[in-house]
Amino acid sequence: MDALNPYMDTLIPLIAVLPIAGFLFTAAFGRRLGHNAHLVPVAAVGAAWLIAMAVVYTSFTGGFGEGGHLVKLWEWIPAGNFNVEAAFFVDNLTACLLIVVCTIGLLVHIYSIGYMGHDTGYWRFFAYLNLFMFSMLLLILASNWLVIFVAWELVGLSSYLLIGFWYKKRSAALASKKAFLVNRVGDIGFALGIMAIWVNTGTLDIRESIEILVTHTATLQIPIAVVALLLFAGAMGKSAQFPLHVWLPDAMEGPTPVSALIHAATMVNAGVYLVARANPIFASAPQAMAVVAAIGIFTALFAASIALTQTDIKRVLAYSTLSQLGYMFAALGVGAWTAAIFHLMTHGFFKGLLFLGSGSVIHAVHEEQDMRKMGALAKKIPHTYRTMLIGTIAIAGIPPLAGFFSKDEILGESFKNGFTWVWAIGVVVAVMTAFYMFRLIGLTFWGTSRVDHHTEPKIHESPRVMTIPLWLLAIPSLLLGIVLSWPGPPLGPLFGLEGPGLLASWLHPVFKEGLEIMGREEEAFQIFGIDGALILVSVAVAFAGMLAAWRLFGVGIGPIKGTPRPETVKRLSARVPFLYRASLNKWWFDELNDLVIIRLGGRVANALWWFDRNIVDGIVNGVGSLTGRAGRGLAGIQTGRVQNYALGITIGLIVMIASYVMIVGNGG
Amino acid sequence: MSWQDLVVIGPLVGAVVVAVLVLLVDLVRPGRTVPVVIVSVGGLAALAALVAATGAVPASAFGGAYSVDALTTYLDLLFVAIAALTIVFAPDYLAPRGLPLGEFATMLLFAMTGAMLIAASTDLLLLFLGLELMVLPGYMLAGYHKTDGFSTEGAIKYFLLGSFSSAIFLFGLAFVWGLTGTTRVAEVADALTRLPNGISAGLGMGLAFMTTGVAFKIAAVPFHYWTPDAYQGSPTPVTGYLSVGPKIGAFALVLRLFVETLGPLSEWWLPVMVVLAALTMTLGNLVALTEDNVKRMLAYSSIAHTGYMLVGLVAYAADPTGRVDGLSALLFYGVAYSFMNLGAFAVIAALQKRAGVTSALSTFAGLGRREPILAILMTLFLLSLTGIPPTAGFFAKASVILAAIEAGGPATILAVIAMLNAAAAAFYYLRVVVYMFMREPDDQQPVLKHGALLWGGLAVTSVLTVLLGLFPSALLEMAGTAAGTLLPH
Repeated sequence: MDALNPYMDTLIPLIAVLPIAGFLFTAAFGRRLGHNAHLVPVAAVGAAWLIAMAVVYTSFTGGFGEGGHLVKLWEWIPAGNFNVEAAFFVDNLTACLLIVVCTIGLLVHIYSIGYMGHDTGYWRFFAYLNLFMFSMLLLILASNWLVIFVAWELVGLSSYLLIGFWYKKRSAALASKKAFLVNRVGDIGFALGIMAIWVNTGTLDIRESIEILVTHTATLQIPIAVVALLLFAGAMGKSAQFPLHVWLPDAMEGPTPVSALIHAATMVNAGVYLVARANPIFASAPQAMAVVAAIGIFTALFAASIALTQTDIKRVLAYSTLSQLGYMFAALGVGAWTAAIFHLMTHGFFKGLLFLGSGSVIHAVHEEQDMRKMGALAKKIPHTYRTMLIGTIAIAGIPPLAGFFSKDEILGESFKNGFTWVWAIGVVVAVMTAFYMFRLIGLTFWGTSRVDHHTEPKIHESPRVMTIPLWLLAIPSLLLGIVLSWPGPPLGPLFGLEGPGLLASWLHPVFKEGLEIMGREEEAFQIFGIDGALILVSVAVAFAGMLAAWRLFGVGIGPIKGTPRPETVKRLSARVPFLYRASLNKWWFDELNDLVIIRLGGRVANALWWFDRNIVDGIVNGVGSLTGRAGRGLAGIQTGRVQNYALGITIGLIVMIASYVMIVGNGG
Repeated sequence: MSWQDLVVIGPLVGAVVVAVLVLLVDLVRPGRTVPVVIVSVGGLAALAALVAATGAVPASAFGGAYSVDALTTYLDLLFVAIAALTIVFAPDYLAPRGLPLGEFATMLLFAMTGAMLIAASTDLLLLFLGLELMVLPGYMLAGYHKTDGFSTEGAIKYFLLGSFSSAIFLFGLAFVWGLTGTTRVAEVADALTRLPNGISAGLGMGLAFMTTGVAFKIAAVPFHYWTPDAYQGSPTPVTGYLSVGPKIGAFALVLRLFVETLGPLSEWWLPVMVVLAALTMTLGNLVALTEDNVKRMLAYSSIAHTGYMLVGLVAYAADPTGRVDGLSALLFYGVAYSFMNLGAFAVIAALQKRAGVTSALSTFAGLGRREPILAILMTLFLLSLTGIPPTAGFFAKASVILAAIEAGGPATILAVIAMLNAAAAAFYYLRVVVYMFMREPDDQQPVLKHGALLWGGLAVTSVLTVLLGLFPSALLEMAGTAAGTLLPH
């Protein structure tokens, strides 16, 4: 593999170039290709995946050195002292994201061949998917803030296009608009943050500007905490953190592969990536870190509480995604950056798996998404069932699957870094996570069938082109936690091994500076001390949530059998009517938005409208009619008669002579 | 005339040879399109190679009256590209109207020769000669559709007013000659730096006449009257050419005359140019807002673009440190403007393939559905004309405006006016986009079949419009070198 090193400057840009080429090709000729429209996009992403893996390997084996590798392409905007270079940058953090984006991207492309097979917009779908891949890869490969921002908007655009893919459906069109608008709010913050960086440092290069910001913290024109919070505002929009979370559940109107790729595994992680990339900035602003932690853990709790009662299978997963993203931000906020990226990677795989699985379920029961109309599907769609069960165990935090390792690391670090409140809330969220996920599995796959009589006989497992990606995602859901934490804690010490885990050692150079600024020292891992105790708590709460769900919604894993108890569910929810309704109605957040933005905002807008119509319009119309009249008047000079034109020129000449004589007279 | 001189004027001779060859081909195979295209485009390609090869070494001929330098090469290549693209775009429009391509291409090539002569002239008389050689075939081209009343009317007006302004311009040159006793650019500039009694009223008169003449040729307000009528009446490919070729040619004249020759007097002509630039931008855009005919709208838009280019000239003249940023921005603007404007006119010409189709705004209604690729390309050209990144037009505007801001003084005010104008202009450019994608056509219009030549030309213009937006630095560098040759060494 080292033989490839001299070609890295060509290979790295290719990762982004291939999908955009695929997009252009498919946009131009896709319609004519009909049902072969997927060939070029899938091949493009496949080739990008291969190259990305070579780059990842080189990066992890130290081929790029500690500082990462910069590929200069060209000077994009050479304008005085405002220079922007088009360049790509790869370090181990980028490599981690490349694994997630390229692998899941490729599998979702393959899965879509089956899932979108009957759709008339087949070629359009693949074109958009490739556009998204390009934008997302551009985002993680960018080496300066302006390019990141462009990519940030591009992922927003492709997300908009894909949510509204079935644009004839009113709800889909509305959801795409909502996603676009809510993201704009965050983007304003991000744009202001970038401007603040430029004002402070005079450069838009990411690493250069961070270096200047953290070394001259005291003398900055705009305080570093403000810069950090503005960047975080952008991250909140894209990663759907409270209160900008409202767009993500609605985004489920898009086709399910889109939900898996964009709204679970990749784009929503962009905010996490942004904060991790800017870690020295955040480390220099402890207040901003606390805000990140608070918003993160609150979102985790808030979203998990909603996921408890939702009946739409995709919405449960959407709220679960919000909640897990909240975990990641909590980790970023307490300074557990490696843990955040660890969870980003494991979550990408198991949530991608769960979404694709839910797509397979929806496919099987003929586009039904309501879990109250499912049940007892385990035998009928065994591949989907088994893979989704793996994903569920993984997300629930049950060892030794992937989610346990990353989630436990987040909780443990929060506790040890002195954020006991984050840890305490995190533990509660862990119970809820295990509960709502096994509720989902129970309602869908176990118990008795509540499927519509007409569809019941027609339930069938999805084609291989869909189940194989599921299994391929199940493998990392099973093993990624062990692999990435080995030989470090928590398993390493059990076998007498020492030193950091694989991921921790990879990411050490990236987060070294942030850790130094915060003055964190590495503590020894005590498996038979505090760390062991924390792990036991994590495992215990995960099991508690799981068992509670089994008791209420049934279970059917081999010998473990249990029947659902709907009456108990009803009785329990009747005991806490307020909480139950709050969860079911998503804490009335949409209603609140409706009230504040639509009604109250409407009143304000009405008042503004009155002002606008009577005062501003008066002025504008005055100016408008004036310019219009001026324009028409000026056009009126254009009489079409050549004598008039000649006369005009002569008058112009006389004025010209007069002015020159005046200028010369004054000066000479 | 020495052998050496002949080598230096090689590209000019080559241009004439290509024109004559086209004439001969048309004689042998009268009325045929393909041979004309092959000979003219092939000849132009060879000519471009010749220009690039001979332009590498600066040289002068005829005792310093004719010079080849980086500026000549830069402009010559642009003129050749404009001519080639115009010839490529023309057949789709001319053929359905029974207009032959042969004479069209010949006249176009002679006009190009004139423009090339301007770019290389370092003598005032030669400059005038080049100017006339450039504009005379232009009058004929404007009236090329002989049976169309509008075409003839526009041509006659263009001719009468053009001759009038040429006379004014020549009169201005006479003043300079009378006061300095020479027509050589270098000698005039030298004499102007050492005026015994300072600048006189006579020289002021000369400046006034020359400024007026040049303002007419670049279509600056208030000497623009001929533009809308000539543009609207001319066959559309001619309009595309007129909005680009003679304009850039006239700007070559501005560079040779006002910068290289009258540079020492920049203090005197600067205030006039500031006013001209402000008027030209503002009035061009203001009237374009009210136009419902796309050809006429683009005519006014081309006036506005003249104004933006003048901002570059002002930025140069106003810069106390004598940087050439303004001039290189102007030269970059010329290239960007040429390709996007030619592309936009090519789309209009393509739609008018069916005789009788007007260039009214309603022609564009529903184009997005009817001919999506054409509509997308038109959108690209319009976005570039508006100045939206990452297109060529954005960098053109940005570099002109940045140069003006850095120059300071009156140029700063112009920069502000230019930005306000750019914002206002977005309205009428994007209105066409709205029509293409969001309006249903009034009646059913057939999908037209366009020739491969047209698609090829559109591919070139659109790719360049995008590439110059993504990779502007190479061309900016070339423009910088070209502008550098204008300064006293």
